[in-house]
Amino acid sequence: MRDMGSAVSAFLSEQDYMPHGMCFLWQPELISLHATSDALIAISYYSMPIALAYFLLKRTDFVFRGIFVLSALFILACGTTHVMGIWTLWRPDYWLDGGIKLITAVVSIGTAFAMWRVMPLALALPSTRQLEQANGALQSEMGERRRAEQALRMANDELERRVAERTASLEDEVRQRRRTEQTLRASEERWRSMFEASAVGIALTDKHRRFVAANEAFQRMTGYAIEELRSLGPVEITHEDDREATREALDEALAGRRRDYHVEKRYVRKDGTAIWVRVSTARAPDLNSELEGIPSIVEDITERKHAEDALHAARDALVRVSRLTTMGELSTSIAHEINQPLAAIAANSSACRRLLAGATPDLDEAREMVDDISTDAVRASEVIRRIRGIVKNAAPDRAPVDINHALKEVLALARHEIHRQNVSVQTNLHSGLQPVQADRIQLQQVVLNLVMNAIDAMRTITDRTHVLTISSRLDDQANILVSVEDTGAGLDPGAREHIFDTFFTTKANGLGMGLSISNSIVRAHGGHLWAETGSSFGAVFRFTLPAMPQPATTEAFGG
Amino acid sequence: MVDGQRVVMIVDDDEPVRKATRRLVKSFGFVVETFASAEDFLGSDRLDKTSCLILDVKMPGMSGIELQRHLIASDCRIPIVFVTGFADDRMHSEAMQAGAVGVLLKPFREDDLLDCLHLALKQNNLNGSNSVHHTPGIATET
Repeated sequence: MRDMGSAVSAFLSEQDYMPHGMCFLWQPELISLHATSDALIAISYYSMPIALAYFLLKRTDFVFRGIFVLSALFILACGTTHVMGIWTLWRPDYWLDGGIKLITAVVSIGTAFAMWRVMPLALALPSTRQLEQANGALQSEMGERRRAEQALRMANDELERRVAERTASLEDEVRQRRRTEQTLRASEERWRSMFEASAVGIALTDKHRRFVAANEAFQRMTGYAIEELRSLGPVEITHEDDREATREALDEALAGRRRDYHVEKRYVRKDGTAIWVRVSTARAPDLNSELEGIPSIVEDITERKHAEDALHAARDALVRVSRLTTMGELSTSIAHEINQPLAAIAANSSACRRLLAGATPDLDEAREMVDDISTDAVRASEVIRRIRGIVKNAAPDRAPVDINHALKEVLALARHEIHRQNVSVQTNLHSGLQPVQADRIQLQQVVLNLVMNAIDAMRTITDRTHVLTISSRLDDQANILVSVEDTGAGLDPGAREHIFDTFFTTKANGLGMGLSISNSIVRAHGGHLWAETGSSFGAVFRFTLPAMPQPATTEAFGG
Repeated sequence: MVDGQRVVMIVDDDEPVRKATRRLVKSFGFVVETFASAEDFLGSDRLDKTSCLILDVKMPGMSGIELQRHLIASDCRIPIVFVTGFADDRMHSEAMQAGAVGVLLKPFREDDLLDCLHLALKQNNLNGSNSVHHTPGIATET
């Protein structure tokens, strides 16, 4: 240690030089100034590497560590040169001082070189502001990303919720569908059992106009088994008279032009007998739908039809009987009316024969008598023809009837009765009325009945003239309106409600059939019959009949 | 008409019948006068000249039966032969009970009418001339 120390001291002890303080003449102020300044610089320099070391220790990520280490060494060396500055004030170790300066120079050059080396890299380093900006951008981007992530998460949650919901509703739907299917199956079974057990026939017709299904009742009704029906259709089993209409209706139903139709027609059973049926097609489904064919409900109405026919026949008979009854009431007048010309004929022929039996017969007078006979014969035959026109046993038959002509014929028929009952007739017939589509005999029966009632109503009236007013005109609805008015006792308000009832009568010897039958005749002709109180006295009976569109063509009476 | 001569009167509203009956009665050789209604007959001054009345039953206005009643009520006993177009038993018996010579149904046979006329004239001769005590009131109204 002593050797080493002596070597160093040898190096240091080249004490041939004078201390640096000598240069300052040892002036204490100057020595103090240099010593203090160098001491402060040295202390400062020595503190800097510590600060740098501390910095590097904290910022392990720092990129330019080499530069920092070099800088630290350089500063340390610089500090030491200042320490040596103080040292050499008193000790002239200028070699040591120079050596330290050399070391400092080397480190300085290395540091400077290194600094220039890293300069581009250091310049490329972002500044704090740039970093802050970048950081800010990064922050906002991160914020953005966070929000996006949040939105994504929410969307995801929503999706999951929806999936859950849909799953639940699907499950619900499945349950519901299952229930519906069960209900449908139950309904189907119910309908099937109704279809099978139904007392009315039910058949399905496909678009080829063939039966595809038919229930028991339908098979029983037609006499065909289902296998046979499959090769037949509604047209084939329909009576030939109704076939065309059936074909048309079926075409319309198949074309979808008609939603439903109800028709009464005849079927021909397998055994050849005809039956009446009422066919109702409630719904003609879309042919593209799964429901196959047109369903029809078919009722056997043969018995009802027969009953209706019987009823019609009975009604016709009743109408005829009623007509004859009315004519019976007229019989006194009619007999009188026929006997008048017959009496004239008989008297004239007797007188003529007696005249001709004479010696010098006046032939001119005889000719005159024969002419009168001829005229009276025509007169008698006119009456007979008129009666025959109304009592003939013809089936009801409708044809265009000139209403005014028909009214005049009735008045001619009742002429004698009117005359006999001291009734004066006023006619107010509107000319140029359209004809009515009617059974002339039945129509005249109505008028005759009303005329006879009117005459009857005036029979007991003694304090005023007996006036029968017959009028015809068009009403507001362009119907033909016929009125029969009398100056009789008028209608009892209590009786008025019942005058059209069958067997209701206010007459001592009345049957109570006339007005009831008249009413049914008018109704059957599409008209309306009613009674009103007369304008001054008595009653007025009015009836309407639909007018035909074309102008009147007079129909001959009788025949 | 020859004044004082017995005349057969015909009352009928039907002109052809009236005319034919008139010819027939005339062919029997009687003097005949005709009236279209009972009112016309009553209104005429020929009642006391009437030896027989051929009377229609059914007429507008006064009927034959009403005329008969009226004449009886006036104590005018003209023999009446009724002619009617329609048989009515009640009317028939009423007319006969009131003293009618006969009721003939139209169309009647000439012999029946002639028989009735003879009977009526015989009755009229027995009765003497028709006694009219007062003019029927209705005559003034026609």
